[in-house]
Amino acid sequence: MTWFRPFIVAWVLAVSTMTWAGEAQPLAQDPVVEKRLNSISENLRCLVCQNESLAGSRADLAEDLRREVRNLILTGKSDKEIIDFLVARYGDYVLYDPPFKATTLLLWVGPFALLVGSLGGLILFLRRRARQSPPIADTSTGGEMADEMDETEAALDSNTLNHAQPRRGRWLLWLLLLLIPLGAVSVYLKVGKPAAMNPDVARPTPDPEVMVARLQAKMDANPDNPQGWMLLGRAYMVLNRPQEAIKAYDHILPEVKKDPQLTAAYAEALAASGNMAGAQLWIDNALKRGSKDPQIIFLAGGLAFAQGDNAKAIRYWNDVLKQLPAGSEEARFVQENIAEAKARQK
Amino acid sequence: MKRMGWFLIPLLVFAVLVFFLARGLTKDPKYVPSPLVGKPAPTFNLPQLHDPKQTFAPEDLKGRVWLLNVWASWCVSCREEHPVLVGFARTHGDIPLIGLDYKDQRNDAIAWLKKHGDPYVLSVFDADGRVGIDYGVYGVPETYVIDQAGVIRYKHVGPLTPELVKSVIDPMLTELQKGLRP
Repeated sequence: MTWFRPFIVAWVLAVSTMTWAGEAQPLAQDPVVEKRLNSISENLRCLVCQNESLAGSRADLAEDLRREVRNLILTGKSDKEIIDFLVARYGDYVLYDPPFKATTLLLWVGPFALLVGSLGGLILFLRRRARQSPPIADTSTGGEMADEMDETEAALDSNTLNHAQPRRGRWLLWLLLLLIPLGAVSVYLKVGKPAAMNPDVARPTPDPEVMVARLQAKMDANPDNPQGWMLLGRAYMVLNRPQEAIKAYDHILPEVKKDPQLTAAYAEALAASGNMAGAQLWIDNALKRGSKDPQIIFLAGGLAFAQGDNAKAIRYWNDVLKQLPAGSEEARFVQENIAEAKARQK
Repeated sequence: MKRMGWFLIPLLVFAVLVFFLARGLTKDPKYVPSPLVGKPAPTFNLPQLHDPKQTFAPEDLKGRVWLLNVWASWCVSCREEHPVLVGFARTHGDIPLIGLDYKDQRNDAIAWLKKHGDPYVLSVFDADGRVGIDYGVYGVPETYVIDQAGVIRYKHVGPLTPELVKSVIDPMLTELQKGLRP
């Protein structure tokens, strides 16, 4: 029954946006929207954990703001409009890249002013030192080191003409000006990661396996959270690990029994793990209780189809079709299945 | 002496650095200056906490000076702040104090007010924090002073203290109310 698994997973993913709206964060989202959300929120500061970006923070407010940004993306707002939306509420403070204006003048110009100032100071200092006549012993400095240096300088100077002295200072300056940036660049090339400058490379999308493992650990530590088990079960199904999904759902069997959507998810996991009888039992019980939930009926059809009862499958699937908006993606998906069952009938 | 002058420059730079760093130490790094002060209070229309069928909008209080206090039953600092609000309501009968119950459970919130006293004229229920975002809420409790024209005049993040009410909010309220009666 291995064909059953991708088939069911595809169905669940197709309807998840419809039936799970308002539930815990759906796992499968529009990758284009998510990518834009990421690129926008990476440059925004989380207001609660201020050293984290909005993209990386797990704070409650950050999640709310990401949801807000996601909604704005979905309503077709441009990146600039979205950023303006947040700045209007939280100020420039949310930006990791604050705009250039009067209050941020020092921030932007300060480092350059400091650089120019200190370079100017260095130039003046070196020129001044070069102009001074070194052979005259400077008694005020004292110390062996200074004496030694003075001696060396004196020795060097004795080989050069007096008018060459200012040039020596300048020569040193140019050498430093060349060596310092060169040194910085070569150290960076040696130990730095130039690829980190490309945000796409720098932050690989989190591995779903790792995320699920993390959720599993969290749930093991704090099992009194039905929503969490539900999410974990769904996540395992997306990862094609029905055995683990069943284990997750087993923690919340009373809820599974009550909620037709959860029943469907559980039965689907059972079927995907090869336990068709178990799946059949859960679906039959739900139907007996009068469930009209499209996922339950769809699964009932799928199980009938798996047993080769094409007529029954078509009947169930037609029932589902009645509940779905005509022309929707889900409806098309069900129609395809009906067509397949019809083809098998012949 | 002229030579000495050069050595004073790094010292001077150091002194300036020390000045800024020392100033930085006295400031709260969590403080986010609100761009909303001086701007019209964002409008909303939310169900009331005690009676979801009734709603409240800031426009309902146009022409009056009022306080909006963001709180929640899960918020620890709100409990610390609560007696101050109860005291405020007792002594400021002319200033409506409106609560914005932020990302809370309705039952928890009502029980919380029952237990600790309800200083609010009414509270509105912001279940998903949408209105909170419009107000730039990032740390409950927060308090906004809104004037007759519906403009936010002051925002405080964190629990109100009796000292703050006395030294900042009271003078501001008196000042704003003077505007009403010239």
